[in-house]
Amino acid sequence: MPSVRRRLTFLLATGFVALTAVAGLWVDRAVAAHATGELDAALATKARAFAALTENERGRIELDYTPTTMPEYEREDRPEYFQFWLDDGTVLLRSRRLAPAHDLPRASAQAASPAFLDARLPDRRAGRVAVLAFTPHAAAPGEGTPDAPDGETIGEAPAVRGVVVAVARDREALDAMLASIRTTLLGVGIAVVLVGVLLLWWALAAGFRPIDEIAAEVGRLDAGRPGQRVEARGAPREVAPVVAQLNSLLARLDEAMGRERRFTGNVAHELRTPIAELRSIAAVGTRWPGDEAAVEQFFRDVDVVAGRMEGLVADLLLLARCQGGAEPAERRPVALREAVETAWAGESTRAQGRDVPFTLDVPEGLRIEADPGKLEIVLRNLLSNAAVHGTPGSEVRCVARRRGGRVRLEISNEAEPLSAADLSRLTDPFWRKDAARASDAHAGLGLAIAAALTSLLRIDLAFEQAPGGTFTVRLEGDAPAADSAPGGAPDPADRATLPLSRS
Amino acid sequence: VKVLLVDDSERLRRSLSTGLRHCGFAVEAVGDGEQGLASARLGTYDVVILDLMLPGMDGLTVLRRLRESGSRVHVLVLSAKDRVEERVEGLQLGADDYLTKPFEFDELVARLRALVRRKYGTKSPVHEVGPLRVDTSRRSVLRGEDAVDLTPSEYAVLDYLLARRGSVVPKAELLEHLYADASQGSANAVEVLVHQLRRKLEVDGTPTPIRTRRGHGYVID
Repeated sequence: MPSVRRRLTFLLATGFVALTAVAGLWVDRAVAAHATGELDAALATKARAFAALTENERGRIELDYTPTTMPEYEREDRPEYFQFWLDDGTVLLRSRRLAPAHDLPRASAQAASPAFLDARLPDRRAGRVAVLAFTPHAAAPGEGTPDAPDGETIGEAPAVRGVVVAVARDREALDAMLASIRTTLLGVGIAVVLVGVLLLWWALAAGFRPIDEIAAEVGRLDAGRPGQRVEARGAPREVAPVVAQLNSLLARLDEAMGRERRFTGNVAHELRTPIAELRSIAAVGTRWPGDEAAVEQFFRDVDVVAGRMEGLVADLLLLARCQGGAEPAERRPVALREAVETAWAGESTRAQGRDVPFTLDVPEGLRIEADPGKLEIVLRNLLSNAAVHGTPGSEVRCVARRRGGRVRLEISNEAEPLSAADLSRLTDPFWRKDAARASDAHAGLGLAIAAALTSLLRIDLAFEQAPGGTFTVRLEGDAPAADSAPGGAPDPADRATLPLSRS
Repeated sequence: VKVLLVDDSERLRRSLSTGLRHCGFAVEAVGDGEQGLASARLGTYDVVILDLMLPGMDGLTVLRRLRESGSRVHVLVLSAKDRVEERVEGLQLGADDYLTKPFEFDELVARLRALVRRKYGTKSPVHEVGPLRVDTSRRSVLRGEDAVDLTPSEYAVLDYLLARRGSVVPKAELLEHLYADASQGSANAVEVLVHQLRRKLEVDGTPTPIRTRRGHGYVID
């Protein structure tokens, strides 16, 4: 797994090393240039001194040179060198220590601007050479005579000719100093890099510590205990969004786990009652088998209990398949009026005994995109809910209209007041307004199944209750593209009132 | 011993009533909370078996109202709610016992008998009356080594008189505790039952353990 800390350390350390290296090189170059410049300046001064000491005495070139004033050219140990040429390359003079076999390099030099170059000195030392071209100035009148010249005559120049002088000295001291500076720079650079990387590693560790602490805190969370949050005291601002999102995730997980727990608890609870019934029936029937009338009734009861459990299991499986996306559903135009009538026919017998008339106001030919079988289950559950939980004596109204490309169906009935919390929990599995199992036929899964199926069919499902108590379920889905005609007002013949109760 | 069963499951009411009657209990069964509260307040039940999830009025409200009205009847809660806090709440609201569904029928009966014993201040399920040994947990009556064969009604009379041992039990009270609906029986029927019981319990020469206090009722000393 990639480590941000490692990667940051690597990148920053690489950058740091590069910067240090560039800085070191720059310092090295600057120092070398400066020191070489100093050496060159000294050599140039000497070359110019030689030029100043050189005169043209009527065709004779004289150098006013006294070895005692310039002992560096005379000494045996580590001497400096000079050499004079005429501009045609004829050697005029060389310092005493410069053997005839060893010429100094004679680079092309501009007048008054010496050229500098590195060269191997005759004694194999590394050296620096300054080469200056100049024209010897004429001797002033009265200055010496050919018979008694001021200086050493170094050559004959039939006309005023240019002269080139090269001055050389070793650069070993300079190189040693530069090497020393280089070594120091390298040592300091390595130390700086090492300390820098260590500081970087430490700073990154300190920076990432809150994340480690959060990780440890998350690790300490008890998966089985809801309501836990990451506190992350002292976490920096940059980490706060992560903590907030983590806590938001924990809250959502709590909610999901709570729902799951309630669901599991409800399933267990729903099964406890029929199991208690079966066990009681079995215990009493086995103990007193001679009570034939009772035993016969017990068998009928067992049948009813088994039917109820079967229904519960079927509903749970359907719900699980819908929620898990495993329930196949097709979408094709379904005639809404026929679907409502079929669903109501299935539910009307169940709701018998409650004086609930049914008003159907769905235009003939109105169609909706749905899976016919699943839409019928949805409608049956919704109508059953209306018939069973509606106020006795109030009607169940079913009205559908087409609006543009959508079809809206509303099922309304008068009902006991529901709170906003009740409305939001209507589709929770096993939720009932009255917690008691008032009706064997309803485990509280009908609306949960309706919600899961409508979601599968891409039909919107909404519940609302008017202040007067009228409870409305609204279904809204796509009209088939082929049905271009709008719903419009229904024909009076479309309205049908079906008495629910025979009483 | 008279029991009121309040449970919304018709099938559970039916099987439990049948079984409990066979065990010698007089059972009245109702299916909703309001009816249960009314019956428990008015009737003379030894024990009320109360479901918690009831239509009309939930079981805990029934229990609270019952205790608020001063009723001291023993209440056994029989509920599918099995969490500790639910059981604690039930017991704190005044239930004497709590049994979760599903349950063993025998355990229910044993708990009912324990509650009855507690009601009448007896600890042991076995009563020794002269040469008679009555084991209420087994519903057996032994005279020496010999078993005495009693009908459920006769046993119910003996059971109740033993529960109230030392006290004079009026015929009306005996009638109330023998039948779920007192109108089903009569003072004469009680006399007939007591007469038959005495005949079965009498041993040569020994006096009957059930004595009559004229104008007051019956007593087992």
